[in-house]
Amino acid sequence: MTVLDRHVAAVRTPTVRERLRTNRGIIVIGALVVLGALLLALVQSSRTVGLLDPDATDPTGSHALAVLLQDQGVTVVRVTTARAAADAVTRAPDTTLLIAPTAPLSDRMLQTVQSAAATYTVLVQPDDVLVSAYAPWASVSGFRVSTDEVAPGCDWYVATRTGGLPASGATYSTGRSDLSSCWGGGVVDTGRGGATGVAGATGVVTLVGMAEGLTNKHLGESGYAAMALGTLGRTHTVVWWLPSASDPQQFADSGDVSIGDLVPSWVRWALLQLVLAMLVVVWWRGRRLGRVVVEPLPVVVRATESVEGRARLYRRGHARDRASDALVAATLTRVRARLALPRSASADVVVAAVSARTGRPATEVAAVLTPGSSPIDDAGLAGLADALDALENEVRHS
Amino acid sequence: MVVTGRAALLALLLTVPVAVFARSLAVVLLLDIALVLLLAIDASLAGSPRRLSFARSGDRTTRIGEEAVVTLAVRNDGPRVVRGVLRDAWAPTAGVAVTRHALALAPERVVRVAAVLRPTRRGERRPDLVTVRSLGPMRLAGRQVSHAVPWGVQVLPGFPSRKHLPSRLARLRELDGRTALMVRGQGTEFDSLREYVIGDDVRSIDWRATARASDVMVRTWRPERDRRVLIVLDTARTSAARVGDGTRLDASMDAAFLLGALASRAGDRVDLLAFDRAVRADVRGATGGDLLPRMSRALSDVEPLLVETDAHGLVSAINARVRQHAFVVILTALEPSALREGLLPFLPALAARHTVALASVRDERLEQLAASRGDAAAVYDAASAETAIADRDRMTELVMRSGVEVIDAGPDEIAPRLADRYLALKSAGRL
Repeated sequence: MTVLDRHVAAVRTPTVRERLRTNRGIIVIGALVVLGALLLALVQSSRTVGLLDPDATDPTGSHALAVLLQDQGVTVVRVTTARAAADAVTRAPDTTLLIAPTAPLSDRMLQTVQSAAATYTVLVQPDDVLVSAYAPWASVSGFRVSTDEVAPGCDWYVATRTGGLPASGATYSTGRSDLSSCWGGGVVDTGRGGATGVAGATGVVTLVGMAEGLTNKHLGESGYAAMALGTLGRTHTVVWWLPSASDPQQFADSGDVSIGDLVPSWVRWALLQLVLAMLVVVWWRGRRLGRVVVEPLPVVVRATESVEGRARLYRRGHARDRASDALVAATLTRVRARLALPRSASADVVVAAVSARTGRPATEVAAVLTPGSSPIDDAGLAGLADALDALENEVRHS
Repeated sequence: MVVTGRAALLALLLTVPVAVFARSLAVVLLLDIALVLLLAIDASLAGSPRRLSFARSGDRTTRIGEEAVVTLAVRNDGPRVVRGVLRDAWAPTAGVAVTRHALALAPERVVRVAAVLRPTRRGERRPDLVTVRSLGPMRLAGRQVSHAVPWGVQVLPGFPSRKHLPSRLARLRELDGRTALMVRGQGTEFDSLREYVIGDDVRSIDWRATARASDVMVRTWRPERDRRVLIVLDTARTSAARVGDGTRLDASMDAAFLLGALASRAGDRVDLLAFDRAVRADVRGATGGDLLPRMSRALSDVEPLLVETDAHGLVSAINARVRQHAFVVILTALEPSALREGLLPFLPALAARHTVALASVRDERLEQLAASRGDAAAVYDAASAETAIADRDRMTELVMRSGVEVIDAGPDEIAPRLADRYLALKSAGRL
């Protein structure tokens, strides 16, 4: 093939290597962005943020307390779901369950957690629901914000060892005298913060109203650390439950099953595979066989555009006078040519000639060819056009 | 990498084993990774669409309404069979019906695919890229590469009025020396003396010759040859108007071709000028059979421009080309606004030096609009059209009054009408 040896063709699709080279900048930038995001994610995962979270190092977290507990040989197990909390409690023989006020609890979550019996249960700033579930003998009585220290005022051994504490946080009242209501629980007018130890059916339950005392920010103040360690350090394992709003048991109450529970598991995988198959179909149909051919085309203008535009202007402006004048003038021109009249012949001359030719009375012809006034409406204009046509036809055929 | 419908079908069929066996996400992902690997292997086994050589051959010129064939030869320089599809892309107005061809090319073999062009627009038509999609042995996936294989087909303007040429040439022969002309005019010259036959005009009897001879002799005349004809095409704004099937410029070109063919056969020297604000096409000094090809080539790339004609420049260009008396045909539009501010003031001076004809392709839609009746909108349309016609007629009269011949006809009529006017002027000796 001598023709083919004169290699006239040039490959236009870049190879993978060429593509890598030309897009080097973009690839490097993309790689840097991904790397940066990964690094950021790694750094952030070790410094989580969250209220009373044993892993969180921000002011509202509780990492400091968790570290203190671990130094004392206490294992802190952080859980976020009711099921995990119950499992962790049952796994260890002797546990303290801490329930943080991070989300409201559903009945089902409570049932799940209460199915596992912890030796000690510490409720941090519990709401009515939690109090009635764990400590029906107590109730929420108020909330106080104050920096004044208050004496324990009870004989609970933790309280006596701790001493005075700032009276901040929720307060709880109880009608039973056999319970220790400390830090203001026994004072009539103010129940200043309280930790109430009680031996009940679900083990020993402690209500801690002063939640902020457990946070990184306030743990170092007065006796908070002593109180927290005394309350949580009674066993070798602390199950630290941070209830979450996205707990699977949050909404599926009282035995109701979701549609996801009813659908067999293979349907989910089959659907996933169908989605992947659709992606392959998109890949198949989405790749064009060569680029779209573009072609500059010459300009073409509609010749009567301006005429039609003027017609629309006439119509919008109801320019019946102009329109009728144009029609009459055009008919006069054609009739003059038809009757061999000079172009300068006046309308009256034309009227007379037409009348003579067609035998129609001159007044009738004049009414069409020299209308005194323009039509009063569009129907009149259409009528005038028809009358002109009829007259012209008569002239042509006479 | 490209995938085929088979790959999509395979992915779809994978749903069955997934539904029956898969119990976790990992299994599904594993199956699909296996599928992608299979596609990649198939694509890598495909013959390289990169290692192909191409060459084109075939027609270089054609005319609107005619066919051109451009052949693309493909040779496989790679070691594997290239199997798949080839797309030889052309611009839409090249009118290539089949651009995709199945391909099965063994190594070192050559295959030829033909592109049959039926161009719908004049000018240079170039092919776009040649794209080859080569599929693997399993037909699941493949690779795709585009190649640039340059070529060019010059599409010359159509000459639909060619059918009028034979009848006009016959009329020309009648005028020409072959049939003696009995009438004497300005542009005629003495041809010969011959014997009187019954029916000859007695006014053409040459008494001097009759006295010398024993018989009654008459003089015959023939039209003068070697007259100058300048065809001027206005390619500005008004030539872009759609008239009939094409633009006004297309119809004007058709008329220019017929006039050029006729005048060159009549022995006149024909020049061509296309102008808007500058010279777009210029044919000078073409002789005989050379004229039409040169005109076609010069006009094949001329397109209307949305500008106003530079009338002063146009007249200067005309004067620069014809110094002596000539027949100047200006193919433009009888559009009052464009003419009044353009060519009209220059026409009297031009007509004083030359025989000038102004040919305009009429838009027949205007007459249709003027005849529309029925509802109010139609009557307003008619009134507007009548106004436009009246304006046009006034302009025609103005142009004629400045001593210029006016030919105003529709796109199918303009070419024969212009040719007839030329013949009439020639027989009247006015060229």
